[in-house]
Amino acid sequence: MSKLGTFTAPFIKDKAKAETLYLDVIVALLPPLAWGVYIYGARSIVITLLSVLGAVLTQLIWSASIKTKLFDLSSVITGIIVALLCPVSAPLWLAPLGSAFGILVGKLIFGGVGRNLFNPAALGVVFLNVAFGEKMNTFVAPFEKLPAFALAPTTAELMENPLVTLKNGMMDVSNIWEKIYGMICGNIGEMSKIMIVLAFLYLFVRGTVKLEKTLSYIGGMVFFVALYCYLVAMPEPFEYAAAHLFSGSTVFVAVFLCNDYSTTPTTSNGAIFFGVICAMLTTVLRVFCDIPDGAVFAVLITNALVPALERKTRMAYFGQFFKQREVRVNADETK
Amino acid sequence: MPVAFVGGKKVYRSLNSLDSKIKEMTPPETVVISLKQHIGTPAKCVVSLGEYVTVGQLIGEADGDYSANVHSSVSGIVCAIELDENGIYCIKIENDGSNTASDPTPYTASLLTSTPEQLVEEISKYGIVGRGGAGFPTHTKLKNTLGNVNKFLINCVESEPFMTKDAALLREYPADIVSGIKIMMKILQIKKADVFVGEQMLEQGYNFLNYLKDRSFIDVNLCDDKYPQGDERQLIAAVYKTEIPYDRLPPDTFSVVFNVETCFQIYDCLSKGTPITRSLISVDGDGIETPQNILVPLGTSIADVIKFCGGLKDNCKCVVVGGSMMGDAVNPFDTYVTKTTSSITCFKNPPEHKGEDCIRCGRCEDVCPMHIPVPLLNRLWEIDDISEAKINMAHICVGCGVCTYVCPSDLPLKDRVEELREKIIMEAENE
Repeated sequence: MSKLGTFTAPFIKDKAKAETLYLDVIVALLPPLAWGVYIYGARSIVITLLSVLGAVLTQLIWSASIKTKLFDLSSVITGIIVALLCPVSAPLWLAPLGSAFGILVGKLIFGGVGRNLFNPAALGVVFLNVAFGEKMNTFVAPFEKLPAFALAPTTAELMENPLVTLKNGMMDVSNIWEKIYGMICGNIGEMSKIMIVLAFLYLFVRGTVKLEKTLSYIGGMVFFVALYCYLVAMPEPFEYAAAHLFSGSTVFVAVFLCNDYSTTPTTSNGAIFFGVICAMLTTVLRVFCDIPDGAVFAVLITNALVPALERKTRMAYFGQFFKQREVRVNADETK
Repeated sequence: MPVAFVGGKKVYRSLNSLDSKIKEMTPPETVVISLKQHIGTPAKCVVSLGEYVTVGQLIGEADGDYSANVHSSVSGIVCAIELDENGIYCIKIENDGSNTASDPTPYTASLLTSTPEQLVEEISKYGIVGRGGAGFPTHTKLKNTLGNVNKFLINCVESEPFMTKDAALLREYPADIVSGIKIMMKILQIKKADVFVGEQMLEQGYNFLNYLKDRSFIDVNLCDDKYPQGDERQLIAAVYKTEIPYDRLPPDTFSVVFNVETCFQIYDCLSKGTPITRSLISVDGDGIETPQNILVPLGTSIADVIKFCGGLKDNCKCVVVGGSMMGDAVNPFDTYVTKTTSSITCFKNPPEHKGEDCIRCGRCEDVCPMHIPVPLLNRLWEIDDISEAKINMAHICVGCGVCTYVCPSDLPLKDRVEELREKIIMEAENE
């Protein structure tokens, strides 16, 4: 009994650890990556590894220079997400540049994990889209294997972004199932919706994510696109909404970017508002603006609203209604 | 369907101590009995140094309404009356081992004809206090609620993990509990009592229900096995969907909650005529040799209780009194069993709560039973912003510790919010 230490309550602890949560997300990012490799070959992996390297190196250099905690797995997640949102035809330096920019400007200068306002991965991708718009929006056809280590591959067959087709009012509802399977061209990680849903189920079963953010974003997408179709009197609004939902990075964003802990509201109601606002912005950007895939932009804009959303959607504290009723009753009595 | 409040978390639970029967501990050689084992004013000392006291003899007399009598738990010589670190008198009695008792006078004979006031008066003699942890004197609670309540809840939820004393009591003394509840119903003039048991004691609750047969005046209900369901405010919130604010008490909603052990103690004291001299304690945890529920004489040192339970295992790192979620790590040699002690838990690997970065996962906010924004309060603690913390209701924290339990970053959230809470209260007092 002599070597009893000093401890404070509680003396037991839940199993969940921050590192486990990060690992869960990394594991969940593997199926979409695997599909990218299946469609486009080993170049997908090379891009992803370089992107992770860019993010991790940035983090390490920063931490060493200001002497803080050296490393956490969240920068690996940022690196993978940036890579999965890049096309496979992009030059090899593109994704690392994006992830390094995202980590540095989106996370590190805010004070590190948990203190950042903007999603670092979204910031990196948006930066790449703004700076290298053409490189970020040209896709090669499925099963067109590119040389894995070519710095900037020159391919014969470049395809237009399917979202540009969609924007011009052309619709190919016939291949909606191909979009769900993932037999389409697109960014490395966003093609197969089945793989992404699989990843989401894994995260949900592990208790890493909550349903609200993802479902409110997807529900909001369907609602706002269908509403737009209804307002401009387009036939078959729900088919058009489905085409939007399964094109571009909508589902990927709904699962991975909308569920980021740091940059989305911690309150349940706030999470629903976040998803709906984000869906509205995505629809507006896609339908009215010149940006082909507005989903990542929308996430970045909605990130800025998070503090306000949290403030307005706090749960009533325990006994608040009782107090309010008491005040009302007292006011009635004095009348 | 089990009832549940909003928030909370199903925590790791151990039922090891439930297996064996409730044992009585042999009185130790010396006991140290504090004169403040309840909330309110300390009792007045009525014995002098060197006096011979018997088991159940009054040694501290209640001082005013918010106080309770204190009785000796052993027979022997008063060998010291000293102040403890809080300035409370503690009476040290050397046990002579003869167990001489003052002759008790059971009250059962006049039970049927007494008025509620007479019964409360009688109960006040025995020094019964609430067993929830705070130790509110039972007779004061009864007096305050007399005639202005219409809902009577009996709390047998026991949401603290590692605690099984209520389940064991329900299993072994159903008749005493029912009689106690009947006395309480007579005092409060209520026709129906509701017993609430946690899901983890489903079997004991079911057996108790079978014992009752007639459910028209005492009913048994099930609560989710969720921490902190055993808090009386959370119990009322779960059952009646009424959240009672931090500065109000259950009688404001015409309800009253008593612990199941209090019902047992009332019948036990009235029927035998003996005051409270023992506490029922759950001893559990991975650091103790034989987990069990035992009746311990008041004033026994924690070290003696541990010795009675076979001692600590080699690599046990801390001994906790008062529950694994809210209790304190103590030195077993200078801590003594009081009327409010309900559990002793020994741990090999207690967590250290030495995390640094909040990752804003929001788990603490989801589980907080008071629905206060814990992630925000953590940030406010970092910049020491008391006025903003007050706007965000840091002062209603009940200190249940479930936020620290779920935190994946190992942050000492409970300690931080309580620090804010103390600062807010201090500021309010200074104004």
